[in-house]
Amino acid sequence: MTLARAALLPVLWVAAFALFAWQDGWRLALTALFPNSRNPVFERATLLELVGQHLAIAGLASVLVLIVGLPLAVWATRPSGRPFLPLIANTVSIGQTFPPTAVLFLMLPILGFGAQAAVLALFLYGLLPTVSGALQGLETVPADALEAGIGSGMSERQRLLRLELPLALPSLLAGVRTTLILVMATTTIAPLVGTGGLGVPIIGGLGNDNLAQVLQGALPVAMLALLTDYSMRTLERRLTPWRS
Amino acid sequence: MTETRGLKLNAITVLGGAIGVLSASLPWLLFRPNRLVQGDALAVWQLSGPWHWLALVAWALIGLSGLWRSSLRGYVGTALLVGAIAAIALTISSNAALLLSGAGEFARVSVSGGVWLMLLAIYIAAFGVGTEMKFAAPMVLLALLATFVLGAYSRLGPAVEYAAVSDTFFTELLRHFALSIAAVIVAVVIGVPLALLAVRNSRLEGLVLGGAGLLQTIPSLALFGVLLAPLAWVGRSVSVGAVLAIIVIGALLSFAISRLPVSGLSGVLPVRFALVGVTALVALPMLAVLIYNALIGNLGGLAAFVQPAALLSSAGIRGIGAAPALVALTIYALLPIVVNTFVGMKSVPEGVIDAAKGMGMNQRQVFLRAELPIAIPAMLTGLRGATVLSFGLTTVAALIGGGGLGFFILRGVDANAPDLILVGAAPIVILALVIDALLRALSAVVTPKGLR
Repeated sequence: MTLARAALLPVLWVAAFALFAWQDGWRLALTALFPNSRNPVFERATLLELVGQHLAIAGLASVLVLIVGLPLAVWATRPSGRPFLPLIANTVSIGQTFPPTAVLFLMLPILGFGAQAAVLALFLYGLLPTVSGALQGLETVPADALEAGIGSGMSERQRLLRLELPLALPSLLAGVRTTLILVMATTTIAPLVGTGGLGVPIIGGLGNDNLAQVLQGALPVAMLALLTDYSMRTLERRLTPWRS
Repeated sequence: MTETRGLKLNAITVLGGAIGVLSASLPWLLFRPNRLVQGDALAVWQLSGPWHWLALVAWALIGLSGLWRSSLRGYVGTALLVGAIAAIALTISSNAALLLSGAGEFARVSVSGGVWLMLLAIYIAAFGVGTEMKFAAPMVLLALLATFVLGAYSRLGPAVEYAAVSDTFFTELLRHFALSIAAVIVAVVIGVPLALLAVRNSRLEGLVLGGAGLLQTIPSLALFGVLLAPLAWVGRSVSVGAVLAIIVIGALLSFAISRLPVSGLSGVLPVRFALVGVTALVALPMLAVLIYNALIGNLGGLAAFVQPAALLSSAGIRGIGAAPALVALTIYALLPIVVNTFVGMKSVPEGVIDAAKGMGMNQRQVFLRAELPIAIPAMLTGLRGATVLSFGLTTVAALIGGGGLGFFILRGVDANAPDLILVGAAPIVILALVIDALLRALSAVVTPKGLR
């Protein structure tokens, strides 16, 4: 079962990209669906290029989240960072109440227009679920497990790597998954603050009542989000086989 | 708590003070003579008046108070923080007045990076001081509110932009609330029964929870976009009467099937669910638009629903406007409600149900008196999640002509006016926090005493 899932995953991704690359197919389908539309297909860039831009923005923000967020969560649960734990935990919990779209625009007067500002805003918001998931995982490691670790002579580093992180993994990975989906979704709105990506045909199409182009952007975004979610869930099962 | 010797340094307060001092490295104010130019960023030393220096001194002292090992530091820190807020407000108001005098009606003064950094510093320092002095956070909030009410920021760009759009602001605010509340109501109407069914039927469990989760994963703008074309088509080609007929027939048929002697057979159940599902799918946009029109007091939109021959588009169900927004928002609001109702009902211990049955309660009484009170806290968590979520997602509705506070954001983006963007974005964030806090308080009140 798990093996079949894992084998299915690359097939799905390759199929999705083949579909994104098939520009003529989109033209045919959208022309058939919207016979009255004069420009059913976005012409300024190919769909594959738009997907590439989208993944570049969302991917960069997500990688930054992992690089900064995971060490931050680990540090906040070590003795040196523990004084800051209440502040960090409170911030991520309040921060997640903020609507991501509103945050993207709230940052605009502070960070300015453009792709860099968008990536920074996405990164800052994306930190919240990852840090919150990792903290929850690290904070709920059973005390007996830690004591057993100390008793069997593990160093602090060994306890972290062999005990705490593996036990925190389910909650940590769930947080990372939420971040990835959130960043992927919010990147769709980012063209309004001056970036590229799949939001460009959607927002452009909404502006001039071109539903074909809206669909051309919306379907790939939905596919990417669903595929990302599925991939992360497969990874979660893979890495934490004891849970299922 | 009188031992002062063991008092450690308050690292959070120190951090807050340090960030406050660091804010001097960024410009505090931005002056734009008109919308076309970039504008001048004003650093601290370019400001006039003594107040900004006092603010910086206050920040330094706040940082130092975190190092001071005395039990008094909570009080001192709170006083310093309130003082810093007052000094910042005075800096902003006096400098804005000075910059704008004789600068023409298109000139704008906005706060810049340094002030935003100080806002972060206020949050961190208030949190730090709050660990020692219970009233620090309320005092800080009160101080911020007081400077706001006293008009310290009334000459800043966002306030000027707000004054220019104040007549439409409340219309859009009402629409924003109406869109998100209508969506949550429909999501409750659909989601709670679905969750209750899933609790009783394990085969439905995976379908309902998985389906809601899958829909939740789709980005909001994409879902809005995908819904536009079908709703536009439905609005153009289906009449109100046809939809009402489908709903009535669907409801009658599913009721009739439930009364059939064969209703217990396994093959009948999927048919019934499919029937209920299709009926609900047809009724959903209709119900949502109806509630929305009632909430914003659009009587014309309501009247269209009693004219069976009218097309759905005349009742407001079109590709552009409130309908696609409402359908999408309802779909997003479903997951928190379904999942939390499900979790709440599953958390009812078997023993409680047995005991209730043993006391002679019938099925209805068991549900209302035993299961529901235990499940209610979780259900309210779901309601809170759904409300906050849809209030935030409604921001996107402006893109498809649904209105709401996102309208000002879009206008600000089009006009290259960051101040106008704030007029839309800041209330959304603040109201989301307020709604969250209110619903938290509500669920604390509603939770049965025994479960607190």
